[in-house]
Amino acid sequence: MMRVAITFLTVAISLFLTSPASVSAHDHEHRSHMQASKPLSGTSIYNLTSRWTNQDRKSVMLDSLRGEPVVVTMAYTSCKDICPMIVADMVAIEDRLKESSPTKIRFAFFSIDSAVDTPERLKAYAEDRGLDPAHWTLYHGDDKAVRELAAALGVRYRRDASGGFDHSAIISLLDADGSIVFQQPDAQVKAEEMVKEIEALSKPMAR
Amino acid sequence: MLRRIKLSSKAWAIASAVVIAATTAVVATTLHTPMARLPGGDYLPFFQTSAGKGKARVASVPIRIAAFRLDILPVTNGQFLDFVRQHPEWRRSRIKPLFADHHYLAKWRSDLKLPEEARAASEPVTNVSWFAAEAYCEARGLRLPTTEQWEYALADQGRNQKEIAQRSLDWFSTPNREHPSAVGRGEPNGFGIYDLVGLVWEWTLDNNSFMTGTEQRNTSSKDDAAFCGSGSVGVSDASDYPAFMRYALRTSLKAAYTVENVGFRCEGDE
Repeated sequence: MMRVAITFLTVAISLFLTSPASVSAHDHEHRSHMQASKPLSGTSIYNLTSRWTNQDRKSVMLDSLRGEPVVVTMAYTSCKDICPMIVADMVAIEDRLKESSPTKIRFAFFSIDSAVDTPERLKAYAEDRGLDPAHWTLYHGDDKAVRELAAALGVRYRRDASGGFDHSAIISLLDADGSIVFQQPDAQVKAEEMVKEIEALSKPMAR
Repeated sequence: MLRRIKLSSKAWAIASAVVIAATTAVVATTLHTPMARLPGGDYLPFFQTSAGKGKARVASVPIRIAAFRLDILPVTNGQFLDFVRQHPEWRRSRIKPLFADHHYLAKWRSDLKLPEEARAASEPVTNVSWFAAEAYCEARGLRLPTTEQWEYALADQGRNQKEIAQRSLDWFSTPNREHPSAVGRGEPNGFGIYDLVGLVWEWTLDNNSFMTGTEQRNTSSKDDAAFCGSGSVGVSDASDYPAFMRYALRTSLKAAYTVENVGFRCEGDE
């Protein structure tokens, strides 16, 4: 009962805080539902059937992201290295989009640290970094889910002796159907470049 | 003719299963490769573990490998054909591009037809992606072996390592044949495992773990900006050329790639 109330409150708040680039939780789910009848593209990441738990402890499949473009990364919360920069770069992209146009876009952080990054920890991380819950979802998955998604995104990772990871710093842009349209492979992200790609996506006729 | 071909491949499977079961005491079905039980043990990883960024690298220390089971042979075309019969979504005409590139099962005549069936059925399946290999093992309730498990099987508790290295080198210097020979023709190692070198390269579960070389192509100024963490570190034995080759190949493969000399075998808990 408590959880229902909290969910309702979250939805209410996200409705209230509508910025040009934001989408309400309800609107988003409705959209995925509408699209479910159309077959997925064969290149879509959403063909993976693994289940994930988001920072609100909701169990979801990847295709719950279907319907809008998504900026995706794989990282882990205890990472003190490049990960904070990756997230900061994604926030910079988000800020740019808010300024320029009412582009609909989501941001997804998939943890590679199945053992440590519980949904609670992901939620605390998101709040700590001020990640807008209207746009951002953080995901916890088991080893298999992580391995498959990493394989599909071309992300390499390996645990190191200190309990952290070596991993590729890649930001990927998925189209509304979940296919990779653009990747920035080397942590030297230029927000403008990604923004241009995202804007091109929202104008399908021009592409 | 067709019937004879079918019989002969089945006969081969039964015969080899019987011979192998007799020597390794593994109960086998004719459909699936028998598995060997590998006792747990220490294994010295080829790559030294990084201690985290900014810290000195840690010299290779042996790691403990828990006991596991491993297919004694690479998976054959015949076995993979059975799999795609039962799992139509993995047939050549239906495979999603996310899961395999357009060379998937390229040497097969069609979805359910092998080239020269009698011969191909007992040869290792190749032109399969990591996703397809994983799906095959999963359908058997198994997985791909981790790179450490695979290397542990090859290290064979120190038996005949010089000979293995030499066989690897001979293999590298031989041009690829038009098709690989049948599985299980050579001698098994001390664990009872065949064909780890000399036939086909093999997928591992964590093929995407290692970051030497190719990941750094795109970085011009900062060598280690391509990945978070310290990237590749030292190796335990710089003279082990065959090991460099194996890791280089793993690094070069992406999960949807299908290559004509890369196959796989499956692993399970003890």
